Amino acid sequence: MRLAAEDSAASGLRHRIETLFVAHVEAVYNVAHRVLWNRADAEDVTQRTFVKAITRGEQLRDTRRVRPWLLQIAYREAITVLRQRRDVPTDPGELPETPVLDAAPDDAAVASDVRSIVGAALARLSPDERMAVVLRDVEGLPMNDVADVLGVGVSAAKMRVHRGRASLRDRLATKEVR
Amino acid sequence: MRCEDMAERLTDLMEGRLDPDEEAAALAHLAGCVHCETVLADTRDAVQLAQDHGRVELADEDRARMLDSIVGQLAAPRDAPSADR
Ligand SMILES: [Zn+2]
Repeated sequence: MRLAAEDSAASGLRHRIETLFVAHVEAVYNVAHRVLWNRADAEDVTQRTFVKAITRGEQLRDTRRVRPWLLQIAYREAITVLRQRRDVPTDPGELPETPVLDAAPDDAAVASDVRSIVGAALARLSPDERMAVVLRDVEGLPMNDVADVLGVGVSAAKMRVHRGRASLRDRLATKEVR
Repeated sequence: MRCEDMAERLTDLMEGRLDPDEEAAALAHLAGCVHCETVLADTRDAVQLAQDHGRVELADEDRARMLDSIVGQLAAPRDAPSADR
C-alpha cells in the first residue's frame, strides 16, 4: 500500500526533474551531440547528465550557475563515451574528432538548409575550437563559464573561441546563407 | 595598427574587452581598411548564424522518452522494496 506522503514525495521529485529538464535539455543535448555526432549516444549522455545532477541535488543553489554546471557534466560524460567508443588508450589532452557530418558536408550544403550548413561548418572545426564556439556562441555562456566547462583557463578558452570563430567564418563566408 | 594586429584583437573587440585606447585604435583601423571591415562583418555574421541555427534539433518524442527514462531511473530506488518495511 502506498502512503499519501510517498505519492507526494514522488510527485515532488518528478516536478523537480521536469523543471530542470525543460529548462536545460536542449543545451545539454546539443553539447553531447556536438561531441558525439550521434543521437542515441547524445540521448544517453543527456539522461546520465540529468540523473547525476538531480542525484547531486542541492549542492547548487544559485540558479544562474545551473546551466554551466549541467553543461560541464554533459561535456565530461560525452568525452567519456567517446573514449569508450574508441576503446583505445587516450591521451588526456586529446579530444574528439571525425564527426559523422564530416562525411557529407557537400550534401549538407546542397540541402541549402541553414541549420545543416551551420552544423556542417561546426563539424569541420577542431574538437576544442568547436566546443568553445558551441559554448560561447551557440549556448551563450560567458567566457569564464566556457573555461570552467572546458576545464581550461580563461585565456585558453578565449583563444579557442577566437580560432573557432575564424574557422567558422571562413567556412560560412563562402556559403549563400545570409 | 596593422591588419594582423586587428585580426588578433577581433574577438576582444567583439566581446567589448579591449581597453579604451586599443579599442579606439582598432576602430580607426577598421574605418580605413575594407579588408578588416569585411572580416569583422563576416565574423559577426558567422557568430549570429551559430547563435540562431547552431543547435541540433531535438524531436518532441525523443525529449519525452528521455524525460520518462530519467524520472524512472531516479524514482526506481524509492519504489524498490526496502528491508525494514
Ligand atoms: Zn586591416
